[in-house]
Amino acid sequence: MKNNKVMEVKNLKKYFPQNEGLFSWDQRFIKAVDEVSCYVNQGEILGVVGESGCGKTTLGRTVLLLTPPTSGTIYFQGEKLDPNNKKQLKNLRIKTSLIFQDPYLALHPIMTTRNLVAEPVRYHSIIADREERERRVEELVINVGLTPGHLEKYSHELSGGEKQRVAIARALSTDPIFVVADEPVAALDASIQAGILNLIKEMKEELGFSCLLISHDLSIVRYLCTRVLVMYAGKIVELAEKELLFESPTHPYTKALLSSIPTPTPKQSGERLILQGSPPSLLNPPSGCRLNPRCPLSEDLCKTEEPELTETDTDHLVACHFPDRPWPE
Amino acid sequence: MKKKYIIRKLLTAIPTFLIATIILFSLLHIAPSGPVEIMVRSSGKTMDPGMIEELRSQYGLDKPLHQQYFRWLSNFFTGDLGYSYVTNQRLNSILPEKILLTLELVLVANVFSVAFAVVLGVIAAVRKNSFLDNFLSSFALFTYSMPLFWVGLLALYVFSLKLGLTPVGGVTSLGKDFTGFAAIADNLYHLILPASVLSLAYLAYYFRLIRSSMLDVLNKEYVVAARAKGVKELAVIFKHALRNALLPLITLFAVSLGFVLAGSVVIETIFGWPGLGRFLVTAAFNRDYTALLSLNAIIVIMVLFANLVADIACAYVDPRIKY
Ligand SMILES: Nc1ncnc2c1ncn2[C@@H]1O[C@H](COP(=O)(O)OP(=O)(O)O)[C@@H](O)[C@H]1O
Ligand SMILES: [Mg+2]
Repeated sequence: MKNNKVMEVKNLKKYFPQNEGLFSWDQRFIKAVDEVSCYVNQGEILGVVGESGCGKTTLGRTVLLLTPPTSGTIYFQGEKLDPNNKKQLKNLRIKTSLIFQDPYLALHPIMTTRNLVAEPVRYHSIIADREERERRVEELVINVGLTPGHLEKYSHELSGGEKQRVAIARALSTDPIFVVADEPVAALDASIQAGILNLIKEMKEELGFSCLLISHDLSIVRYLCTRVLVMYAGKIVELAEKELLFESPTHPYTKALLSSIPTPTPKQSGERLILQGSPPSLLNPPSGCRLNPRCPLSEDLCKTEEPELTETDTDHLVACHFPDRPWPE
Repeated sequence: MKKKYIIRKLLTAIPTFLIATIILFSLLHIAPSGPVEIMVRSSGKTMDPGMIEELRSQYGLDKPLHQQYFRWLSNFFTGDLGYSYVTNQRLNSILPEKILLTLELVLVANVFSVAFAVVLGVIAAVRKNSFLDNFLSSFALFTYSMPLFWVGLLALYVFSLKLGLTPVGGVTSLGKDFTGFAAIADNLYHLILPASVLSLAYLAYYFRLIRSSMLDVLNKEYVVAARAKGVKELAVIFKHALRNALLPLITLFAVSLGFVLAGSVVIETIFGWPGLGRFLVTAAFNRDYTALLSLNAIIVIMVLFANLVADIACAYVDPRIKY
């Protein structure tokens, strides 16, 4: 079974030092990712949802070792990653890719589409022959729905959707087997979001990469993902198969989150479950369960003891002391 | 399209030039006493008012101001820079050499300072908050806050007087007739100290600019994107980041040319470097109207030209700039 996991993290932590105090004993940390363990299977799309600022981007970037983890281990294709192992890192860079939230910021302003897409291929000498490389670049650009006419354009000459297509072509140029897509459509107009999402879906089916899809939009996750991970304040609160999660959400946070999705038929839509207050500061999160100050089910236990992520059902993990209690009237 | 852009830029330079020279001209005439009065006073003799009037009419100073200005302007554009009252020489025969000497000093100093500033600025930005960065940044602040004339005098005292490593001043060794390569070497030997002092002043300025602009660029998403695709750190720094970080420097280089020439006034005076700067100071003290006007007009043209070149260079380097 283990060989099926393309990417796995165990007890991953990423703390950002906050330079507030002048002296080192004043040092405080933003606990952006705290004790996260999860994995992505071969060929699946794992969705990561949660409010803005809960650590989704940090998780995605730490998994790819773009920023060194504070602690924890990362396995790529079953092999433990060592941040100091250059050869391993090079392999990781070729076999993984990151698609950014804002393609406007992620494309170098003074490189043409052709150079942007060709760079990783040329850089890693994946295709040594020049002409063949050119052909490959053109093929990639056409595959993501652009035309050879876009090849000589700079990013400021492209629309938002076209920019993201270029970014996707660049990300896929090295034939990655694992892709982190960090809110790939959040910065785009609603009218072109579906096109980009379908492109990611098609490319995934065609090329067979696995994907960590980060989004704060549950309908996107529902559309694309196989399994879903719900994050709250740097921690996983629930992790389950998509159907399971959407049909029987167990954690109070997931319940509240799901009840906020507008449904097509008014009959289906249940009552809107509302959590009071706002997410905690990651500098000093509440003790016990991080949701406890906002949770209607909260009891003394929740304030003192942190709930473990435990299996309540097959392939359904929840971090809650009282997963079976219904939402109070 | 590019040609049009250049022509448009050139056309906008014309009013700038006219306004600058009119302001200069007016300022010169607002300043108390004129060249004749100063000549008379410094000669120590008394001169009767008739003589003064005669001298004034000989120099054309009795004509209405706008006539004087247009006469100067038409002469200037036909290549006649006019006559220096003070040195009694035609400016056409004395200015070219002075301009070359100043350009030599300023260009050498700039090349050195930019080269060092790029290397040090990149290192400081990449190793942000390290000991080296803190050291370089403090050093830059230190040299930046020291008055140029003081650094100049200090350098002269230490390197020329105490250590005897460099000449005390001038452009060439007096009384020696070097030719060919030896003459160039002799000139460089005289250049090294003033150019170093001047470049130290610019170095701090450029260093701070490059450091902050590099820091800005290194935090950009496209730099993270390059790293994410495994581009090596050195290539990320030089190919992806530095190329963008240098853009503001091109513009700054042109805009600060005036400032750079002002710095050379101080250095030329201290090191006896007979360039534009020193001549400018002498001319100002003696109200040498024509010399001041023509010289400043040349400086205005140099600054405008540098700006034009910078605009064109930026447009070539940065595709985001529309023609
Ligand atoms: N480079 C960084 N330095 C310091 N704090 C950071 C950095 N990146 C993210 N953070 C902090 O970590 C927390 C989580 O951020 P992020 O991962 O971007 O959340 P999300 O993507 O879910 O919106 C935020 O509080 C953010 O301010
Ligand atoms: Mg984010």
